[in-house]
Amino acid sequence: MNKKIGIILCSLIGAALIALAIYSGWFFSTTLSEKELEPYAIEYSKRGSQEFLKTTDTALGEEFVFFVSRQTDPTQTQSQELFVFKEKKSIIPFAKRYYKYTSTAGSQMYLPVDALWFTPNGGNNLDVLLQHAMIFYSANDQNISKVDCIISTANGEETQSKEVSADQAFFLNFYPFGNVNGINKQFVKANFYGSDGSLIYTFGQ
Amino acid sequence: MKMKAVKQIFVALTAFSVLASITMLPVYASEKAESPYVETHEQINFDNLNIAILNSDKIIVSVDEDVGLLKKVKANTEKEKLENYLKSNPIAGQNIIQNVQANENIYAIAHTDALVERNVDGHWERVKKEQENGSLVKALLSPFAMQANAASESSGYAHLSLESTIWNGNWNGSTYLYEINTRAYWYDNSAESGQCYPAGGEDFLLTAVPNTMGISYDSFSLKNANGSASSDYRRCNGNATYIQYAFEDDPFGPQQMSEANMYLQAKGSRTTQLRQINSYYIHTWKQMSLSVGITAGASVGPDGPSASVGLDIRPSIVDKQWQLYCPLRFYF
Repeated sequence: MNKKIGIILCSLIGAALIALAIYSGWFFSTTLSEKELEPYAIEYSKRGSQEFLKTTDTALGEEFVFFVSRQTDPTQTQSQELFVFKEKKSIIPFAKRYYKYTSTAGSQMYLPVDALWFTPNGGNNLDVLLQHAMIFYSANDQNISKVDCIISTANGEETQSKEVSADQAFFLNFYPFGNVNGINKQFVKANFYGSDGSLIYTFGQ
Repeated sequence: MKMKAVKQIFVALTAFSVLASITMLPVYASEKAESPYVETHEQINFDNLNIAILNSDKIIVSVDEDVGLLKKVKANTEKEKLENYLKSNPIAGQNIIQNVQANENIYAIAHTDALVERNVDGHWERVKKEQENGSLVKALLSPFAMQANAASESSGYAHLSLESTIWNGNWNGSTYLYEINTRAYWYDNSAESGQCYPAGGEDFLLTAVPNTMGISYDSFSLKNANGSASSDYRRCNGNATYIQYAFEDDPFGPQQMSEANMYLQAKGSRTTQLRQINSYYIHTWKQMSLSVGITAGASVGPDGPSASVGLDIRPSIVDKQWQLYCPLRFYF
């Protein structure tokens, strides 16, 4: 009887170890370490970019790492480039790994700034109020130095301003949109200005 | 003996894990209604799909990598379906972009697309399956396979799509607010065809929700082929279970209806039971009335029975109308 129990226990432990080994193999082979993220972006860049601006954001409880191409496009024929990685949840402790959440490489025509609307806490979670983010990113070949983001709420419109270096790529995140503490916040538009205050580009209505 | 015991444990563990994975999966799928007409029906579930919008005009779909393998496989299938739908139907894509950027979180889209043919006396008639004559109809079944004018003027074929969308609403701990949009739109037709070939009589759009939910709000909008909004519609019937609108499908070109939208809010308790929302479009070419009967019960689909309310729609003139039906199944 004891022998039988011993065999069963050993088998269960063995099976669990095999399952863990298979899971670990799959987990590490399908994810990237933090160091591997930029080489990944370089490899898949459609602009041939060798340099990226890296930004880590833990907005809305999820960790994202963003890479914006610093490669300007004098021909103005290619879209801006953004790679978004998300931290992969895992049962393995201390293994901080990422997967490619989305990318916009080579997707559209040239604009001075590209805009990505996404839902960081998405995936159809029925028990939380989903909130959204608007991301603006650019290699900044038009030397943008300030952004005004106009947001509509129940109390009217409000403007959030952010400044960036006119001679560098930038990444800007405006959030949350959606139901925020019972108030419905909606994105209206964003105005991008140069150092001299001139309006360079408007995104939205 | 030892080997046998180990084998049995492995088999039991494998069977258990497979069963557990399957039972944790949501059980819903597209229903293929039996219809004598040429039509396609599909449901796309946004479960475990991440939707991002680039520059307000491109939808980027990705699968949530934080879910289990089987859910991921299913989500990949839905992603493929969605991408194909967007590729073949740009109007649907614009609608999704508008909804997503209005802070909505789409849960599922069901759509039924019907091929229609211009009849000798000028109205649009459904194409019967037995009429399907080879490559021409097959080509036309691919939405947007031809330019609008080319399709309508040269071949006399068009499409009507009936699309239902359900969004995740607000959960306040006891009551859930479901948001449902039913949209009918013509494509591959043109305003010019309406000028020459009038179709008299109102068209109707109806949506019924399961009786575990109650409709608390409804609104309607209508768009003409020239893109202008129209107010030529009326709410003819409505209660907590179903809503019926009638609207002009104008015979004389410029006011030809291109899109009808019914928006509903329904309140109810959340449940994991499979439920179904039924939508109906009735196209007429003679003035008539509808008598609507309600049949509550279970609709049987490939994924099992679902609670629903069906509508028994009886037009006063049977041979001057046809109907298009679109079920949408959900489980939350």
